[in-house]
Amino acid sequence: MKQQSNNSITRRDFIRGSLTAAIGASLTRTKYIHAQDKPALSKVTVIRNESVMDAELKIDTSILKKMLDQTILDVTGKKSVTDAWLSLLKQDDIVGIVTTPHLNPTHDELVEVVKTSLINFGIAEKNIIMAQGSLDKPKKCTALICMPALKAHWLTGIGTVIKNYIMFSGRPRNYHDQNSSKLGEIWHLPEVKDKTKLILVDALHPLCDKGPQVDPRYKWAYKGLIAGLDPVAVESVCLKIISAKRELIKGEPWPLFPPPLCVEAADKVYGLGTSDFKKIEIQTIGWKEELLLS
Amino acid sequence: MKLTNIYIMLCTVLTMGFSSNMNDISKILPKTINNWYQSKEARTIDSTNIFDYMDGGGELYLGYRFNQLEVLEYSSKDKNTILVEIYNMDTGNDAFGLLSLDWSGDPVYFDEKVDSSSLVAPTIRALYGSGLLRLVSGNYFIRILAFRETMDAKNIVMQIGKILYNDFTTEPEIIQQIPVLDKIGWKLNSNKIAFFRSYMVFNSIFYLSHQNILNLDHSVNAITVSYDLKINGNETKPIQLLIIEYTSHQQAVDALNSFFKNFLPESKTVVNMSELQYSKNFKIEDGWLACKMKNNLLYIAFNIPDKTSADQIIDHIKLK
Repeated sequence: MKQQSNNSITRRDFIRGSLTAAIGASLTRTKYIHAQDKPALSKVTVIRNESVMDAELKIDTSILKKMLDQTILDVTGKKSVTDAWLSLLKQDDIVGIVTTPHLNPTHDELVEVVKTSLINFGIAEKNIIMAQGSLDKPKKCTALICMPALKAHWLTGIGTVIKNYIMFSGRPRNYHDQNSSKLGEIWHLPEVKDKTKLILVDALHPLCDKGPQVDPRYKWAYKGLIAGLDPVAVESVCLKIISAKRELIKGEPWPLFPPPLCVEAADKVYGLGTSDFKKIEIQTIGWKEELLLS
Repeated sequence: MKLTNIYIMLCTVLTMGFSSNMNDISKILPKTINNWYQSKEARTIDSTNIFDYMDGGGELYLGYRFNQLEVLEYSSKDKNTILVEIYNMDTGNDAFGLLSLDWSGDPVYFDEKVDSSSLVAPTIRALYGSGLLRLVSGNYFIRILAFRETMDAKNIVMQIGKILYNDFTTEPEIIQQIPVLDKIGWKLNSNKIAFFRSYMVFNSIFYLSHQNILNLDHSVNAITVSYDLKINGNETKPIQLLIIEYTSHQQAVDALNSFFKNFLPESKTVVNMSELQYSKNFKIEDGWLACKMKNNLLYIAFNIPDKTSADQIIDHIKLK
């Protein structure tokens, strides 16, 4: 039996809105890390195209490619795709693409489109690595692209951006439950720290219930990509979309339990970005139906 | 394989009953059904490799009394796949618990023979939606998932379900402890009855704490249920009731004290072992909370709107 310790985070912290303090108290030996260059405003781009998937969920890769181009142009504010990549990467970088392998995997089509775009930019094909897995993989890389698929998660509430590096820890089970608040620390491992150049979330066909296995009733064709440079801001927008979809399905409040501690902790404890919507600018492009961001 | 052969195999299974040997249950499934064929050897997964199979999701099954899982796949010529997962649980309660986490879906009726009129929870044991059939058959919780839902795939999913289904419709005894609160206006929502043994599972239904403050483990039987109240046609926030059966009075007292210490630390409440019965209400941030204990049974009701209702609920909890 797992017994409780002294610093329990409870429903009452959640009701009082004092989760941050409770998380802080539960991480007594954790050094708070404050981001050095945290921007005043974090931009998150949400791009959708109704035609990117057909009724059988087959992806039109030519449309997906255009969506990717628009995404990186918008994220970087550059006028050409080459300039956009150049603002994020160097041509001699070893780029690790970190996808989601389980539950609601990142679409292969998206991976291929990104790889092609990187190669066209000038990254050698041999220098593009599928970097999900052990810490050896990001260690080899000079840059990472975090490419999870949008999904809720049974143990961590949301299992998209911050959780995407859990395998780098080598002990994923240690980050379940209350310890999910510590997921942000993995982003500070020397082999990982400061290497993430782009967060690109596959929101083509997300999963809004937590699993642990896929129930297709809770997947829907959002047909989108969500991207930014601030992992916490991107995750916060993902959380907003998932939460809104859950309420829409049930027609009543359907809170995401357990509450996703990792998002707030990634902001307040690990300094990875912002979860404060006053500091997040959401740019929406394309299809607006059931955007789920109001 | 012809349907007649499937029928013969089905009859064989129903005659011999389900064995605890997982290989037996996989063997009752035909190698081919119409144009679908078993495309991979059946895999057996246990607690040592469940995380390799389903990542952290394994915690759900380990939160119940889990023996092993057998996984098979059927494929069709048009490259569709049906995944069959057969979870062998230690008791029928555990299989029921897994289904009870989500009662939504279209009910599927195979071969119900057992009188279920005395049951409190939903009597359906097979639910379908968007290509996924979930069913309980004795100690087995079964998921049959068509990766692409087509009429053909749905037909095969149902055929597999029918082969694996056997009507053992029962429910955990602890469900009989659910109080009737109709007289004080609270209506039981039977579609929200869930059986569990793990705090992680409870947290996925109703978040209480990220730590195990009620000392839940495989030795307990626990259920949670919600009650709705309509005032002037408007629904209020539902009450969430938790009922836990511990193996001893000592364990119930320890759990209640742990709950007080971690959830209501300001109350400084402590229950003594000598108290075989105990009840008390507490005012917290979002309303009232009622606790009642008798011997090894513990009741905790959350989200109660006022003290009067909390008092009434405690009065209406009759330990059976």
